[in-house]
Order: sequence, then structure tokens, then C-alpha cells
Amino acid sequence: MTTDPPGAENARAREQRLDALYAAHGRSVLAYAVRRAADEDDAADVLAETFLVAWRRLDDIPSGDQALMWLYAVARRILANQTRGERRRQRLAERLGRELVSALETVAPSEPAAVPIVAALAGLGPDDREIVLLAAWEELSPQQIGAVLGITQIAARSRLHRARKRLRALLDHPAEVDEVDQLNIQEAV
Amino acid sequence: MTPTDVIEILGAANPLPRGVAAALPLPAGESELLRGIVADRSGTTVRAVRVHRRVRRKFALGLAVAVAAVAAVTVVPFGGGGGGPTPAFAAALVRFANSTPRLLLQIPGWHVVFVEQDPSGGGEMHFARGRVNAQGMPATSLTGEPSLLDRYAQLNWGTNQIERRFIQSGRQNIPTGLGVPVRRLQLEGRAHGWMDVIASLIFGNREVSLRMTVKNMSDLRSALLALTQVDATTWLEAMPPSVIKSANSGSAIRQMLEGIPLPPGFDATKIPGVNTTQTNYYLGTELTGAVACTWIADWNQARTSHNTAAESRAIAAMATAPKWPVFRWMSRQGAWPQVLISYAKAMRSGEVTEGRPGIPLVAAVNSGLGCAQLGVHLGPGSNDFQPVPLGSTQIR
Repeated sequence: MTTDPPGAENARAREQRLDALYAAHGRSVLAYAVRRAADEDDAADVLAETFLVAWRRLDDIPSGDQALMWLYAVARRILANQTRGERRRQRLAERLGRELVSALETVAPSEPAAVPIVAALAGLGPDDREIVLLAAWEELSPQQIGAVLGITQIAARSRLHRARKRLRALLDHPAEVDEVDQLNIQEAV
Repeated sequence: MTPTDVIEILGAANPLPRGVAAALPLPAGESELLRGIVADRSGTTVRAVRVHRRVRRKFALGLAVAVAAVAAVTVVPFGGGGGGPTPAFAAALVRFANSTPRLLLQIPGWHVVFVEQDPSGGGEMHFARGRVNAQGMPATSLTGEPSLLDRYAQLNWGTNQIERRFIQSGRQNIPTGLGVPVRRLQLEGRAHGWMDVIASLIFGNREVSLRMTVKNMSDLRSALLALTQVDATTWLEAMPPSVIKSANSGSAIRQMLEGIPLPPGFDATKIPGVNTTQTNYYLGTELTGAVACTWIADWNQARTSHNTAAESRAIAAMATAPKWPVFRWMSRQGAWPQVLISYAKAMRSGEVTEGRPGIPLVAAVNSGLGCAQLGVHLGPGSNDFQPVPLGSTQIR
């Protein structure tokens, strides 16, 4: 009979928690990253960095549905605040990136009718764009969007309402809104 | 049928739908990733401590500068608050005021038109110059007439809890040339020569963001300098008539519940935060939400126990939702009634579909109406709206 070294049980429990967290939410976070990253390798890196943060802050992660919102928030900040070069330091996701390239080759492209709205998305500011994408692609409620963006449900609801109106206007009257050039004055790092 | 809602149209353009993501064949990459993460021993604890310390120093600096900036502002008498005797606000309302950042945009001619704070402590205020529409807010359309664009501003603040979790992003104040400490400054759009700008600042221990439309950066600087933290009385004096003073909340609750079939034993005074609700609309969402959640909890219980009479009673009660008197005016101000009515209609099937594979009603309602926050527990299945387990091809 072998005896585990001190702390081994705790380490195993943490690993099990990480495995459970990934089993519950990993594919959702991966999908979030694929929808926004430059390519498959970058998406895999965002996923790796997100779960690395989760591993290091395992005790801070809320339970249930809120865990996914927490992970989305981390992934969002990684996408926004890190350059691609910084993300690739870990090299944890090289194999996953390669597998993702081949797996995504079989995914059917989105409906052609939706192309104009994807183009119109470019006319939204980054905050408005993210809020409509969280609603449309991650299928989050205003309450969940609020948790991801760190704003209240009330704020999320009204911002989503306004972003929808803007997107609708961009879709209906692209000529009128070509002056809505999106420009980040400055984004804090 | 051609979808008309932009979210629905955009949903069809999802490059990787949830069910497809769940079914992607990734035989080894994920397990290799997880083992690599677990093997990571790169000074986790030390690094975490260092990050915390660095963030704290940044916040301390930001706070000091923010306080200095506020102290430098000349206080302008605001709205109709000055002159008369100071009204005595009920203790509950003062407590509520003190739970907010107590900020006002102190620019002559501007006034508060809207304020809401949810029970978790995050909230939103709207300020307007001049007249407002029936909803209490100026039009905000980008394609509206230019003169409308500089008439409103929106202030949002988060909860302390959210900030503790999210504020550790390592962001700090950025050089803007505005002379005001700003953590983030973003141009959301331009129209008719105006800029739609969001500026995030720290007041006390909270991050707030001010969104407004300005002609130039000088106007933005003036607005940011006019954002002033005031005492509770000054803040309450500036509230619009739509804010329910706590002394009137009992009668407001009775009026709003008129014509609504209440579940057995329903007691509105037990709704968390109902006595510190700030606006008619928000009080309406809490009351009707609690009623709907309670009926749907009864319905869920009845289905579980095969009590068809109780199930039918709950369905019949909720079927009256489209005619609830309070929804007549609430539907002009927001989408809450529409959402609640859609849940009422879904009680017959037990699923919310919205054109996609169905989500169990109790799970959708729990998330959509925030039943847990309203003190109502829906029972079995209410937390089932979870992403797919690894390797599953099902949507849920």
C-alpha cells in the first residue's frame, strides 16, 4: 500500500474540479473564442489562457451558471487586453489548435442571408458589438450579459436595446451611417 | 418566415453554434491542454500576490486623483433642489441613496430623468437637458435630429461584488489629455459631427461609466468634471417624480398589483429589496416578476407531483398576464411585460423555443426573470440551463 505525499489529496481534488469545470464549460468557452479570434490557433490559445487563469483562481470561481459567465469574462479580457504574441507564450494548446483546424473544416458556413448583418456589425463600437454577439451567439440573457461585462442586468438590458437599434439602423440605412466610423480613442491595457 | 429581429438574424450567422461546438472531434488536444495546465507551477501564488499588490497601488493612486478632481469642481446649484426647506427623507431612502455612488451631473439645465438600481447594488441613471419624451428619456437614435444628440447622458455603475471580481484586470488610468483621471475612454460612434463617448472613472471604490454625446473633447472634459459626488439629501432631492419615495411604496405596490391574480400566500413585502426600489418601472418588474415566478414555481411543483388541477390553475392565472393593468404603461417603457408574457405562453409546452431547440421553461424563467433574486425558488430543473458536457451532441 502506498501513502500519498502531503497535499496530494488536495492537488487531486483541484484537478478534479478543473476537469469538471472544463467538462461543463470548456466547449462553450472554446466556441466563444472561435467566434472572435483571428484563427484556430489563436482561439485555442485564448481557451488555454482562460483555463490557466481558472486553474490559478479555482477558489474564486462562482458555482453553476455563473461559472461560465466568469469564464467568458476572463476570455473576453484576454482577447481584449493581450496581444496574440502574449497569448502564445504558454504553448499549451498547440495540439488543440491543430485538431481545431481539421475539426472546423467540416463545419458548414453560416447562412448567406446573414452576411449583410455580419458586415453591419463592423459599424458598431466594440462594446455594442460584444453585447449583441453575447445575446445572439452565446444566447445569453441580459442578466448573464451583465455578469460577463461586469455591469448590472439593468444596464445590460438597456445597452442591448440600444445596440440592437443601432445595428438595425446600420442594416437598414448603411449609406446614412457610413460616418459612424468606429475608433477606439484609447484602450487601457 | 423571415426573421426581423437583428439578434435572430445574427444568430443565423453564428460561425460555431453551441451544439456544433459540443460535437467537434478533438480527440487529444483538450486532455493535453488540461494536463499542461495542471502541471503549470510557474509561481502561481507569488504571481497572484504580486498582481494584487500592483492593482491595489494603482487604485490608491486613482482614488487620490479622483478625489482631488471632484474637490476642484465648483458646485453648481442643481435642478429644483435649492432654496426651500430640506425634505426629510425616510431612513430607507437615505440608506438606498448611500448604497449608490450618489453622483450627479451638475451642469445647469440638466436634470435626472431616470434612475434604477438592482438589488445587487449596480445601477443606472439618465440625465437629460430640456424636455423628455413619454418614457422619461430623450430619443437616442443615431439617425435622430442632431439637436437631440447632446441632450442626454447615461451613468452606469457596477456592484462592489462585480468590481472585486472584475476590477483586477490590471487596467489603470490612461493618459487622455483631459485632466481628469479616466480608466477607459472609448468612442462608440460618430454622427452628424457628434461623438458618442463612454468614459470610465473611479469614484470611491466603484467604477462608473458615463456615456454621452459631445461635440469635442473639451465638452467631455467639462462633463466629467461636472460629475460630482453629493450627500444623500442632495441626491434624493434631484430625483425625478418617477422615483417612488419610500413613504408611498405601500400604496404603489397595491396599485400595481391590482387586477393580477396572486398566488396563494403571496406577500409582496417579502420580496428582497422591494422597499428600496427606486422607480415605478423597476418596482413593476419586481412585483410582476415575483408573481410570475411564484405561479411558475407552483406550476413546476404541480407537474412534478402530477397535480393537474394545480397545474391548470397556475396556467390560467398566468394566461391573464397580457391584460394585467400595470403592463399597460410598463410596455411603453420596456420589454419586461413582453418577456413575462412569453413565459406565460410557454407554460403549456414547458419549453421556451424562440426558434432554437427548446430550453426548459423553469430554467429560462429563473435566468430571465431572476426568480432567485426575487426570493422565489422554482424547484427541480431551474438550474438546468447549462452548456453541454464534453463529448455530448445535445444542446443541453
